[in-house]
Amino acid sequence: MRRAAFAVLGTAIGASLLIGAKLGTSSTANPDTQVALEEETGASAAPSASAKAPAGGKKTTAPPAAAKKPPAKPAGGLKDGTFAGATANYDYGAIKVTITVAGGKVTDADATYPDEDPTSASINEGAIPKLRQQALAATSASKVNTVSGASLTSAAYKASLQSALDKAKA
Amino acid sequence: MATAGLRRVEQIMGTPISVHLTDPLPARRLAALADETFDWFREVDERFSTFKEHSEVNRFDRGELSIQDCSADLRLVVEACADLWRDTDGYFDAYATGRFDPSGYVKGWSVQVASDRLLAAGCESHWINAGGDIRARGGPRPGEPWRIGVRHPWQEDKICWVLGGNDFAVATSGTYERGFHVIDPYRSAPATELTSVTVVGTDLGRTDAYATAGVAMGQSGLRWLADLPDHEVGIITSDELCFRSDGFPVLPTEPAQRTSVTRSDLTGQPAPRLG
Repeated sequence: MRRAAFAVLGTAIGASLLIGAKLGTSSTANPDTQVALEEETGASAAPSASAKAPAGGKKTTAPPAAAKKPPAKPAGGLKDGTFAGATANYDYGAIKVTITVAGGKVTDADATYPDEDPTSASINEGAIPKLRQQALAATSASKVNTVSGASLTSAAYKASLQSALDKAKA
Repeated sequence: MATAGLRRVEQIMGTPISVHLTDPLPARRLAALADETFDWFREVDERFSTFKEHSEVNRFDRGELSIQDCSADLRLVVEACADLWRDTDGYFDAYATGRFDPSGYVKGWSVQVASDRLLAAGCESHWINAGGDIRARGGPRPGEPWRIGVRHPWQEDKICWVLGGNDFAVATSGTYERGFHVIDPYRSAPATELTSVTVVGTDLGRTDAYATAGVAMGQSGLRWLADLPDHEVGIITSDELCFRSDGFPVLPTEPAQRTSVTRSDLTGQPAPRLG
């Protein structure tokens, strides 16, 4: 009796899994078939009309989305200041991200992790690259002694910042 | 920013080498030290160039010279390249071109040796820049650090960081000067994701090799560089993101940025770090 119950339960689970699997595949398969259909219509339109037809078809859907986005960005401009995000929990512990905004742009971002638990802190230190992100600056080289850069060849040197510095200070 | 001392540039090893000596020594003494320094670079070129048929490196590569018969310098270079291959997970590879070519290590190493020799000769304040890789000691004046700019990858007349130090090696590797010439040995394709990698340490040969390896690693190089012990890094990616380690020795650049600090002070916000 008990054995039969298990058998029924087993088949029920099996069936539900199969249905689930089928639902899963059908739901993921749908976009695929849709994509295929789109391609087919595009391909079938091409021979009848000019080669521009498929591109024109795409454009009618693309511009409204593209037109909506740009105005949204300036409207939601960033406030200056330092902002701390909520603490998020990951497998290796919690992470808290702080960003600094100046002149409407993110100038600095920093990730910290609570270190009450020394083991978790040491794992975190290894897990997060210990790098600070910042805005890329472009300043004059008038106050430096020399310049580091990707290897210069003798030919490239003539037009380089280093050459200008060498001439100015020789 | 006129600095006293001796300044000289020569083209050796296919690259411009600039030397600046600022110790308060007699002019003739400084000139003699500069002569010795450039003589050393010419000697390194003769012995380690892969373009000179009879160089020691080429004779070793062709098997005409066994490792036992090599000079102490070449043995040291061979061993250092093997160490660096291991330390960089194979991304620094002196055999990348199918033959033994230690040029990627020799330039930095020879500058390091030149700087060590200057120090031993009593010249405690100097810098040597070989095509963008620098070893600096002392400063322009007593108590002042050398100010070393890191070139902006897309604006060749601008810098993006100023680094300060009294005893450091600064090496930058990147994709912008000679095109995508750093090859990822695992994909046999040029590495493109990290446009500029600057590594700061104390040994220029090693520092230079780390910077080259970081570029070759691409995106995964970010974490590898961040975890380098005893070295500081500054990285610019191809999508213009800019990263640096906490100890990267940046000096404040333009005093004009003070205005934002004042405003932050007034609003009670912590000052943004704009180093």
